[in-house]
Amino acid sequence: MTTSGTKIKINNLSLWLQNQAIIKAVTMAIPTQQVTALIGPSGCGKSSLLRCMNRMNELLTDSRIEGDILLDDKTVYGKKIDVSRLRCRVGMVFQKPNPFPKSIYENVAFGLRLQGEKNRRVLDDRVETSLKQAALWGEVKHRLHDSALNLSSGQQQRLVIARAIALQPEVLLLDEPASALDPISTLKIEELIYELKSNYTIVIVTHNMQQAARVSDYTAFMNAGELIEWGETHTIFTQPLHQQTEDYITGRFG
Amino acid sequence: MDPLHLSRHISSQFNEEIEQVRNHVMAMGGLIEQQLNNALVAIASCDADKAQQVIDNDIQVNEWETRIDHECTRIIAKRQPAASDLRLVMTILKTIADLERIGDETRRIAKVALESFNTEQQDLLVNLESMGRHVGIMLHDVLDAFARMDLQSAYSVYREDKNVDREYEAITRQLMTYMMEDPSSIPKVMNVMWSVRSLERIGDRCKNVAEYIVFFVKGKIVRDSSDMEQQYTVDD
Amino acid sequence: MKQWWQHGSLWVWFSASALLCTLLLFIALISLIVGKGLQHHWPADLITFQVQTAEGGRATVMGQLIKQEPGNHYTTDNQSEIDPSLNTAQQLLIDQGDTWFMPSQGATARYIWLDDGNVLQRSKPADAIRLDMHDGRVLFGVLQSSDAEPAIVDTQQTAIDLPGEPWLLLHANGQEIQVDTGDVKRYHFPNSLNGLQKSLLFLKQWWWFLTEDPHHQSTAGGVFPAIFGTMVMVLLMSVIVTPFGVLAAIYLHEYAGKSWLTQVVRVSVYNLAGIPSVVMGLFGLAFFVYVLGGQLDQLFYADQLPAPTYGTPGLFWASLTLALLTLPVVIVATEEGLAQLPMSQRLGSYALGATQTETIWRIVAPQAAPAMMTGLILAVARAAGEVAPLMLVGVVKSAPQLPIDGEFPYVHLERQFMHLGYHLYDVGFQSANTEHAMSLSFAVALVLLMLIVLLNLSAFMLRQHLRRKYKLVQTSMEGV
Repeated sequence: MTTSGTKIKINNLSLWLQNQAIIKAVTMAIPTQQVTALIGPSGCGKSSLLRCMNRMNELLTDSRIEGDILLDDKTVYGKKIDVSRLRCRVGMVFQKPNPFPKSIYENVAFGLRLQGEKNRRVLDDRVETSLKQAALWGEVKHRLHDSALNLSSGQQQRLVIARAIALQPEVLLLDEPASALDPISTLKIEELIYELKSNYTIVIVTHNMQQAARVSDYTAFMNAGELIEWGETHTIFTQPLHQQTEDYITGRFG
Repeated sequence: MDPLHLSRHISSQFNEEIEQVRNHVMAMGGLIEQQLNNALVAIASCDADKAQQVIDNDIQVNEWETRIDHECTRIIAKRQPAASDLRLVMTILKTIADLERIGDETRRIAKVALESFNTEQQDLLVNLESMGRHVGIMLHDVLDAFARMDLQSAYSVYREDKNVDREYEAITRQLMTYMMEDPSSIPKVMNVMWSVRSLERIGDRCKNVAEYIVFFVKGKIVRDSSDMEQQYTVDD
Repeated sequence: MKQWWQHGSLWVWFSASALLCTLLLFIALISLIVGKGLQHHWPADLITFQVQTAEGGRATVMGQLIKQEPGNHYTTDNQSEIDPSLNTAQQLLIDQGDTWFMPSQGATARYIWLDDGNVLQRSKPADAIRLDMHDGRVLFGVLQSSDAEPAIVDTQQTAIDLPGEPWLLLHANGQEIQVDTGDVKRYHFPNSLNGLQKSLLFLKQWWWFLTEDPHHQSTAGGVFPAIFGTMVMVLLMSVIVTPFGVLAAIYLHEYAGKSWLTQVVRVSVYNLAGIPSVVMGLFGLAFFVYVLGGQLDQLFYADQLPAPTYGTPGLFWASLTLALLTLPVVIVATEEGLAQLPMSQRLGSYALGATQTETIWRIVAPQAAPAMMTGLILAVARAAGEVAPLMLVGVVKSAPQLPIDGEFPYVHLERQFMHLGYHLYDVGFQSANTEHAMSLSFAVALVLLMLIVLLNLSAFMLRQHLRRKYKLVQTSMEGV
């Protein structure tokens, strides 16, 4: 293990949505500046677990949580926690690219404007660096004020990532970021994840096991709301400890 | 009846591909076993025809190796196997390489059988025969272990190699004695010596295959007996 | 046969014919209104008919040929009996201008039927003139040269500053009528005009119709106050209903949870749309006018009491009543738009640290704007066509003043106003002269239709503009 520390600690976390147990007593750690992949069959709770990390679950339905999530050893579920601030620290990118129907520039600047940033130079600067980090600058620098909806879906997804990193978060949560993209765009996103790893702690949910194997340093396998196994990716993909993990990643009937 | 869960893939085509490549490995193993037996018989009975047949058949062994090699490559390209599937393919690839070498050694033994021996030297061959039987059993066992991916059998094959090594040393000493007593017999004895050495090599290769089986089952690469002991005891 | 049935082409034909019927009806409606409406201002030729009377004598009739249709009209003897022998003959409807003021003509109607068989001769005298008088009378005839100078002015001319000399008009029935030129509003010689001149005159007449005040019991003059009143009322209603409807929809959809209570509220709002508009008018009268208006008067216009200022039907109350009437439409359309907005847009906003309010105002509302415009379009269409409730809360047959004028405070929300819909009803059914009223009604209907189209079109353009700006992102939330 080459971790320099633990960014997020999930302590015995359980989640109920409309009185249905979605996550059951999950305990794991997300290492700092590493890519952690969450894999598992549909409905296993991996996306929900991801959403728990920036408290997005609260928006959806009546949810109930037990246990705790610690970001830098401080709880994110405290009464006094400013959820907006938390979401600025823990950015999120969704399955389908969801740029706002605004210009490319305004999309990236959206979060900063929310924070009240009005200085044009600061905005310009941050938009440029974010787009560069998201490997999109070269493709859009001449049309920053075009509608973001005119971009291809691969570009849109990178734009959405740029939008998230414009807030300079510490953690990036990626919820199947490439599942709606073609293989080349997917590879670009994967390459981007690799680049971003040096600055951000990344958690990625993916259905594509090869993708998890390619991009992640750590992999956690979930099934039916339980965390079955987590560890270094190369171990999980060559010599998993649990038969369930084995069956899942080799494509067997569980 | 499938402790390896090899036929439990959701993709039945994948199941078939894996089943097929395993069957091919077994077929190749069977051919090599037969080759070894024939070579030993050829030596024991000074049967030049049989020896020649073994030499000719070695091409078939090589063909099997190439074929299985291709099949494995195809599986990797198409299926991107992970975990036990990946280890199985790796094990097969390594195993067929060793089987091919065993084939080469067998051919070497058959070449010795082409030489003629005088009666006195026939005595030397008695020792060779018993060692040959021993190695033959070892090869059979290791193929059997491979078929079932049986850790227990693999382990016993692994230990058996030590006996073969001891036998090899004993025969070597005996042959040295012959050569010292009758320097004129040195060329002939050297021929026997090569076959004995080949048999010892076959033993080593069988040991390698046993190691691969352990790698498949346990996912750990073993390179010496202490590793092996460790894996074996952990299993219990 | 069975295959044909299963193939479903029957349903294609079935549905297509339903659409065809609708289209035909629609086209019939539009062409009727447009055709009849346009006809009203067309400067038709004046024709002189030599007619054989029943007694064997001769009579002369001059006028515009309104229509020509086969028989079924009255025998010359008995006005209530239909003569079957005449059924095959063509009947002509002639507009011979106003004659009621002529002493000997008595009650002769402006519109008369002639049997085509009795017509001996038709002619179009080039010097036939049509006079539109200030008092609303329309006179046809031929100008006689008065004392010295021939009064025949240039027959190509249509309107002039008339000289003081009185004219002598010879009516077809032989009467000479002294016409004081000061009473003539405008005149023209239809038979001397060529097609282009007629068209120009036609456009002019329309312009006058659109810009002038009505007079003579609304049977003459223009409809400008009605257009203006309708326009102002609809705009005022839009200004009231849009913010209310949009805010209500946003609260209902975004803030209120999914409890049974919100469901009840939603159903009630939807049902509000089903309340008959006249009931709304009654409510407007009872609550807005008497209660609210009465209170306002007591608070701010106490010095003018007992004469009511706001405590009487007026523009503001009419707009408010219509706003209430169209509120459900705006709410439903807006909610629809809000519901269509993909969840991913909201989540994207929340994920960037936006609060609920920020998300609604920066992401949700702008993208739902086209839907709000749709609601407004529907509301405007409905409001511009409503008549029944307006009769209770502010519309009058004829209003002395416009609701907006140069007099301080320029906008007079308390004034009563005229409305095209009501005007249509008024001229169509309150007028004594049926034929004339029909024709005028169609002209008014055409104006009303055009006004609605204009209002809708502008809202439609605005919506298209918004749509382009906030092209809806067609994504939905998955994997939740």
